[in-house]
Amino acid sequence: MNRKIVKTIALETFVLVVVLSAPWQTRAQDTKAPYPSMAPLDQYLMDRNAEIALARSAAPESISRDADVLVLGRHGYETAVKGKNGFVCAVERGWMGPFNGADAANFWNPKVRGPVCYNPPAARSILPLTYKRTEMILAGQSKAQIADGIKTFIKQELPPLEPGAMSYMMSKEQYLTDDDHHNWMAHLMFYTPLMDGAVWGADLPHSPVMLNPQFGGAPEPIDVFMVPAGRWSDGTADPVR
Amino acid sequence: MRENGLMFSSVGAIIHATKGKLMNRKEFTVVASLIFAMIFVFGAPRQMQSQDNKNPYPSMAPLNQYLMDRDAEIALARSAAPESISQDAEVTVLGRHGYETVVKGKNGFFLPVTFEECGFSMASDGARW
Repeated sequence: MNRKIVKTIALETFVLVVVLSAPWQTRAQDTKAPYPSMAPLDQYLMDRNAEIALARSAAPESISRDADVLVLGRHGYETAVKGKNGFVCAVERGWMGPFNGADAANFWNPKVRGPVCYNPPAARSILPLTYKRTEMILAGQSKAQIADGIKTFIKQELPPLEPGAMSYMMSKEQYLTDDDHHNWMAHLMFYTPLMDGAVWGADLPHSPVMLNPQFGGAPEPIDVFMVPAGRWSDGTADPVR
Repeated sequence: MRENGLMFSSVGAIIHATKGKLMNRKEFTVVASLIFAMIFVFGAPRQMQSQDNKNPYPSMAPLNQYLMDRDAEIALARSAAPESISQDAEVTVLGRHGYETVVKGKNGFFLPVTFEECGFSMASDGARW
């Protein structure tokens, strides 16, 4: 074979490999990262009344009926209902999860709906992180830009973490994962400075305490410990699995 | 009810007995003392009963009633948490002069059997003692 024929065969082989393997590559990528980037904004938005009801379902009615309720608009969260007990309920989206790693798979998942009711200390010292992340997401910033922005925000604006900060996530309608149990489990979350999870006995055999990878210093210097509630906010049982 | 009825009828009898007469100071003192004594005698059991209903353990019981068999207390203390936590925890038991460490731990957890379980909620039900 002369040089020209070799060159032609090599080129055709390369093209064939690329063409034939492309669908496989795409499928493998989908399996690994089904939500690699932000979906159109509309997919993250909800009917206003449905969002208010979903937000309130995060906690028992005795708590959520007098809480502030937020809804997500095109430029960030807005207060839709003014409360009087200092609690704040909202429906968080996937981007409140970890930025990287295996637990980041749902970061851009437009189906994620995380109803949460913050108690007053958490409303003052944790909720601002939800406002900030969401604001930057809706401004079209990348994960790296958001992580940098959060670092600056923590240094300059975020109030110190208040003792007793916690939140309720007890909505039967919450959608936290594409796995079979979309609503995972009714649970409470407790916010602390960064610490060794072993101090809470977290994730040890038969311990009900779990360390949430949500923040964990990347970049928020906050740990979130979760404890199953055992029942949904409507009082029905949610047996610990 | 019955005591109150008796008391009021006795008071009524005294008033009836003195009706139409202007009591002198001595009579008045006697009548007032009788009324006071009757209120005290008939009212006290009711007060005690209602106090007992509110707080069945109004004061500390003999110390022995708060103490336990040492091994039973160690086992009970450890049962507070899953074995994965309590197996390496420090365990204390209550002695006559306070808590004493009987098992030295290594994970920083501390397991006393507290005798005021569930804190505020039970205290409001009178379970402090």
